[in-house]
This record gives sequence, C-alpha cells and structure tokens, in this order.
Amino acid sequence: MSRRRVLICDDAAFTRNLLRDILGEAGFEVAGEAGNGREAVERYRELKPDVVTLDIVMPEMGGLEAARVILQEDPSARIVMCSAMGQRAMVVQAIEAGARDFVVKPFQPGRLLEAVERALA
Amino acid sequence: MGAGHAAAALAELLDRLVLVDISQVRVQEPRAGRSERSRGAASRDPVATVAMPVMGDVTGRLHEVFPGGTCARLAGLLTGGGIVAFPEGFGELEQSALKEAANIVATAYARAITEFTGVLLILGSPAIRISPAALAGAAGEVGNDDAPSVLVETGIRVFAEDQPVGASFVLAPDAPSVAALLRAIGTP
Repeated sequence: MSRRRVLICDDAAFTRNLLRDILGEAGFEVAGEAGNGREAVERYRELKPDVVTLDIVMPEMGGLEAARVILQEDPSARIVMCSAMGQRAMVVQAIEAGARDFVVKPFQPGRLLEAVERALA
Repeated sequence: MGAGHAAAALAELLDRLVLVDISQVRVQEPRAGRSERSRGAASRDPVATVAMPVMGDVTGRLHEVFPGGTCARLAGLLTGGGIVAFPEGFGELEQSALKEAANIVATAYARAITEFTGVLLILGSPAIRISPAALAGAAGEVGNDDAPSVLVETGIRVFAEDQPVGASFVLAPDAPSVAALLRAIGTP
C-alpha cells in the first residue's frame, strides 16, 4: 500500500519541521512544503497530495483563501487548517471555506494525526 | 486571564509544566509624550522584538519583547538543543521558533481579550527584529505615537529550568480602537 501523501503549508519553518516530523513518523509521505497560501496552491496543482495542512495567517495569501482556491479547482481536496487562531469565528470561517478539521496550535501529535486521518476518511 | 491562556499555550508547545507570575499591567501614554524617565532604562542587553499587526474589531499592533536570556533558553527548548547563544547563534530556525512561540502566546492573549470583551482580535504575520546592545529598546520604547498602549509584564517559569523566562507584551491599539476597547469593558 502506498504511503499517503501530505502537503504542509506554514510560514514558520519551525512549524513545518514539526509537522514534517510528526507526519513522517506516522507513516505519511511529506510530498512538499509551502511557506504561504500562493505557494500551497501551486504545489497542490503540481503534487496532487492526498491531504493538505494549511496555516491561516500567512504572508501573500492566507490559508482561508488558499483553501477556497484549491477546493474550487479540486472539490475533492482534503484540507486541515492548523492555526493558533482558535477563536470560534475563525474555526467557523475555516469550516465554511471547506476545511475538514481545525487543529489549534500548539497541538499534541495525536490531535494532528486524528485530524488528518479524519480528513482522509 | 490572558497570562493563564498564554502559560497553557506555552506548556503545550514546550511539553513542560509552565507557571506564570501575576502580570504587571500598566497603560503607557502615547510614545510622543513619554519622557525619557517614563520610557524606562534602555536595556544594555540585546533583545528580540516580535511584532504583529492586530486586525478584526480593533486595529493596531502587538509587540512582544524578549530579553536575550529568554531568547536563548526558549530557542534551546523549542529546537531540542541546549541554550542557543543570542544573538550570534540565532539562525533562521531559531528565529522561526521564537516567532512561532510569540505568535502562539500572543494569540492566547488575544483570545482572552476576545472572551473577556467580546471584541475580536485577529493577529497578522509576526515579524522579528533583533536589536544589538547599542540599539536595544525596552518595552517602554514601543507603542503608538498618538494613542496609549497597554503594557503587560509577565514572568514565566518553565518547570525544570533553573531561571525563569520573561517577556513584555505591548498592545498598541490605533487611536479609534482605544475607545472601542474601553467601551467593550464598560468604561465610559
């Protein structure tokens, strides 16, 4: 069985490293990384990953807009938002934008993996 | 309330017990009107300042000022190494780690303000500035020229660390937002 492929998008290199370690150790293939929403859209087109993690607040293009663009082009895309902005209003906006789940930073590895698995289910 | 949220967020990030001292809060007058004395003594040590725009129901900026010792210990804890020499050992990863920690802690404060006042604060992308000793600016140096700002001094104790880490948070709303915040907490 091929490893499930994930695209990681966060403007913080530190968080990208953290996500890469957690997901890699759990058996996912980290197909690519992006530092902002615009890069995430481009990398999604190129890599067609099984799931994408998106931060919300990023320079150039934020995660909410990136989620809308990706889902417009591929309605079957599976997106997990991963952000410190855990206010109810932001979670609602993320779900309305099409995210399958929302992980509030800082997170435990188990919570992230649960969200990614749920998005893939 | 904000400090409690921030401590919980930092504990989760560091995977350690974090205790927070009672915060000292004061309102700073607009920067343009501050005397040298009220600005406080400029630090002789290098500091890192992480600033992020505030959007949402109020606008302005939020600054977090980290003394060099705090930067060194936090970066070490976050990147899994020992104490990182500051500022000379601060590369891209260490700066990114400190920015992310600052973002998470600041967002915890913002969430507490939202819960307490009903005013939604959304924080933009953080930017970090490392000031060498000669240019070091204490928390009293940041804020708006034309509106008061709120300074929160917080001491944080990370369990198993022999020295506490500390940081100053300065919420500097734009002038129209000061009135909005005061209205939200019922101050005429």
